[in-house]
Amino acid sequence: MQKKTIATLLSCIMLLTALAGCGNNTSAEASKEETSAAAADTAPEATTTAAEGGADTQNDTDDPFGYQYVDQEVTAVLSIYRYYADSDKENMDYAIARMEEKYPNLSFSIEHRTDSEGSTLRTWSAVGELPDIFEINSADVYQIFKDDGSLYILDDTVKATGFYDLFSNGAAAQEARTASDGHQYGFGCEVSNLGILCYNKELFEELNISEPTNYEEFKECITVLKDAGKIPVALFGAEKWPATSLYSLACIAEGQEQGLDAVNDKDAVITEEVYKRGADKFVEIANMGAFGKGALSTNYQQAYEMMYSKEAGFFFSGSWFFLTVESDGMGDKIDYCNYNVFADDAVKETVRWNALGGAQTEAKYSVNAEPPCGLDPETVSYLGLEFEYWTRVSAGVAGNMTSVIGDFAFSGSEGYKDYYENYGNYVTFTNFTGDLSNGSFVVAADNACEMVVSGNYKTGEELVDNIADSDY
Amino acid sequence: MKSKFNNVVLYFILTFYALISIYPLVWMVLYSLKDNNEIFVTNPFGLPQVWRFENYKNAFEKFDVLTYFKNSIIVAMFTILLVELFALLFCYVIARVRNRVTQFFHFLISSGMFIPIQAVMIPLVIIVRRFGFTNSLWSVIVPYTALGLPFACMLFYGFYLGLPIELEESAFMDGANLGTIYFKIILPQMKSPVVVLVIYQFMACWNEFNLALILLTKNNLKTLPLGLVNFWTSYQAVWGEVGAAMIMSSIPVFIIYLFFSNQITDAMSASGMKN
Amino acid sequence: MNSRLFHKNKGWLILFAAPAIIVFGSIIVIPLFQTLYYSFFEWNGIRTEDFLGLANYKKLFTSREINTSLINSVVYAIFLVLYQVGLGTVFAFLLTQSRIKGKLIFRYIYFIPVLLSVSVVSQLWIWIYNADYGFINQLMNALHIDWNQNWLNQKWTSLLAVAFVESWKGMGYVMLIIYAGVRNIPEVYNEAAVIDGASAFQKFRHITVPLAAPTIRITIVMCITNGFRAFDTTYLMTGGGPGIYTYNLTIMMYNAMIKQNNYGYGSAIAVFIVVICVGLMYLINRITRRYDIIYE
Repeated sequence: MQKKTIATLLSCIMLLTALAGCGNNTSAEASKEETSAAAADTAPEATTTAAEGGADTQNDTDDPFGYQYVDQEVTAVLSIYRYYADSDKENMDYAIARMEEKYPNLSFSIEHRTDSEGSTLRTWSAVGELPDIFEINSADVYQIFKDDGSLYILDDTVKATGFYDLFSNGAAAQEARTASDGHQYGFGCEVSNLGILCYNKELFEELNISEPTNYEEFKECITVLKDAGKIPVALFGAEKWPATSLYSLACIAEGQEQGLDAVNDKDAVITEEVYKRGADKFVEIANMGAFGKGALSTNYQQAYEMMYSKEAGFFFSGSWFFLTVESDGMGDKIDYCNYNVFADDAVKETVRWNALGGAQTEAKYSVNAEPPCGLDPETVSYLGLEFEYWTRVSAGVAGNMTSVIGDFAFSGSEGYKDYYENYGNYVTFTNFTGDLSNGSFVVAADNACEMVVSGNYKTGEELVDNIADSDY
Repeated sequence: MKSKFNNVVLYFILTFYALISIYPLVWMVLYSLKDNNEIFVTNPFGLPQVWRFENYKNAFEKFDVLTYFKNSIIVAMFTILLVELFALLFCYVIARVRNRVTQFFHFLISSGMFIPIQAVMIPLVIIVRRFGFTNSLWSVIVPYTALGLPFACMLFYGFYLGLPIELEESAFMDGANLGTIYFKIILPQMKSPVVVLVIYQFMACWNEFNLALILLTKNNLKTLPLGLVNFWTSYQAVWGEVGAAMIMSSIPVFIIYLFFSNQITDAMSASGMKN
Repeated sequence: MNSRLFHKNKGWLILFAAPAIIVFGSIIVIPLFQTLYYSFFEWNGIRTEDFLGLANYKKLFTSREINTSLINSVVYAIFLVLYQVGLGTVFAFLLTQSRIKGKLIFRYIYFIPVLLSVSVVSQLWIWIYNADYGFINQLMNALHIDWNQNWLNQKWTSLLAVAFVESWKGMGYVMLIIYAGVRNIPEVYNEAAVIDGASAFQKFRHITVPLAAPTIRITIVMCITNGFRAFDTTYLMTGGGPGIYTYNLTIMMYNAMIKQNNYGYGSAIAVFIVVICVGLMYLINRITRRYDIIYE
């Protein structure tokens, strides 16, 4: 009968796809990312070629740790909870490969971080299931864990290994990670990401406009792009923070170098002049049609694809986007605006090095005070520090920005190189608004900025009043 | 003729609605064969300009399909079994014995339908752990069963009410006990709602994500939705592959639906029903 | 059931009812009471802090989003009921009529949106609704109708747009339930009606609807409560935005718990949702009790 044949057909398709995948799976296993506990027993063979391109350079970088802190025969399955995708995955695979080679009885179980507010951590903590090493991406969760005693204090192990001396920005990072009580509950030393406004060089050439260095030029670019039927700024409004971060950028341009962070930290009030002026500018470009009507439901990939294919002129993101640009081979087409596009001409040089983003958070990677893998926390912290070191080395090996002191050649196309060269000049940093600690403020600001982007607010005053109205 | 015109209008409405019901599936298949650029910018609605079958191959490799499939199927099977069994028996009691106690329990379990899962998630997780289910699929099977009971009970209750009391009374006259009566006489009459529930419960288990994310931490225990989420929470997500993965994940649900939905049968004939 | 049956088989009855009660009680009821407990505290998801009494509830009822959220939830629920139960009943009826060919195919196809993942469906409809190049506005332009709406950015259109998507997606399932209920109506009634010369519409009105009423009532309750608990579609399509235009109670709860780290407040909202839904169910059951037709 008809329905039976359809069902059988579908079952066959499913079976075929399963079989088809099987054949490829075994070879993919060897270079597979996820080295889980099951694979631990066959650790040595399974992971030697784990990192793409990293395999041949395994012996290039010296090992500053040696076996002084952890015995070579250490036996455990180390569970790590981190963002395990994109370039982070490559870096972590490299680190896993090096460490598994060095410690033959050690293997890793990686859990990919899928949320951005720490709810997984919270629930795990409630049931006592935190892994050995985890990334804490919420200031609130960090405070709770710290006060709770769930985090192992790293002062001694950091000192013993001289971890931060291995990095050019180590001193600053260590200071950021030192809590008010003088102890370090988290470790990590990465090159922090700044907010960048990218643009498509080819499109700009076609339309005869050049990179804007001040507010007037920015508005002009928007007008030209709009008249040409393009969406001026591709905003992935499906995530709430880009719009709010742009508003923060405008406030930075107006002189508040901490942007919205100051309001979050209660160092300033939203009704101050600088925030009103920033709001006026933000609303102005929104009213000019800078964002396109679908901005609030555009997702990240769609937004940058729009810029790639010249449907949009600008794309606002964080500097991690350069890695995507590199791997997509679009390096010669994309550049970023060196100046703060909201700045008036008179002040553009003064505010140029006040960055959006880049703030080093106190929370980064932490060690469980009672690691479930069975090792003592001191050993786990040594392993964690070493692991982190190798991930940063891997970034350098791949030619990306890293602060590890070593013989790494940066390789990137013009836009990325430009950013790399200018990076050291930035003097002040803020958070991306999604990372701010006062959740109520973030929600209020997000909602208000959405009203601007969707064209429901016509004046900067409405924006500021809306935020002021909520009891953040 | 009026009836012919009516027919034409009816067919038109039915077909129109069918088109807007099937287009999303077609669209999903199409976009699983495109790359990000085509999906988002150049060609969201039409046929792929370049047919990228490698999306399926990549999705299969990156995404441990077999393990996730196996886990999802085991979870679904056991949950369905338990929900059907528990709900059928329970609802029979409250549908036939209508006193204060049973009405209270009916009310209690029905209200379970309204609980937003995020609210009870943390206490629920703690309880599951206390029962010692962690590190096995039972840590999700038991909560899913509990979550499936309210809707199942509501469904069965209505159908039980439609069964005439004569059925049991005549068997009881012959001296049968309740167990025999139930399994031999009542149960066969409940085929339709049982089948409806299989479809619903299978889908609910197959797509459930929130609890699974928290309860299943070992990779070899994970279900499909968890695998999918890992897949697209990445800045460089390739949507075509995600679509391919989703299609592969949807096939079992579709099969279950095909097999079971035609089991929804006609009511018992009137001959045995004379008053 | 007469009391003889009842008393003789008490053992069986308890055995039948026990598993469900035990499982449900321990997995749902206890956590629910714990949530109720937490709603009176300042809870961060890990440790309870200060006892707040009714402060969380006060905060809820005086918040600036509660009015919008409640109204949105009500509108959403009503839309769901009208669409899903309305169309569901009509289609269920039509697909049991012998003169319609291809009933099976139609039934399968109408169920497809139910099977699709909500994220796929949301993404597609986001594009259909797009104000610039979305399908709807393009269609309007092609037909020279001057009615382009900025669907997802305006106050009421965004809410109705999202409600439509969820209604459309779930209709197939409501239809299936009602279909099962309609199939349960003994054919005798319909045959008798045809002999008496009833038209299709009269059959629908006087036989199908009344006898499938218990089933229809189930679906109405289901739709209304789904309306109050709606989350996935709204979250994926608009995230509650722009601003608070598509806020509802569940989004408020999500924001409170996940974004504002205020689990106590979130628990209070959850309790409020449960109370509303339970109250509604009770109300509906009472009002429609007289329509229960039990074969006697």
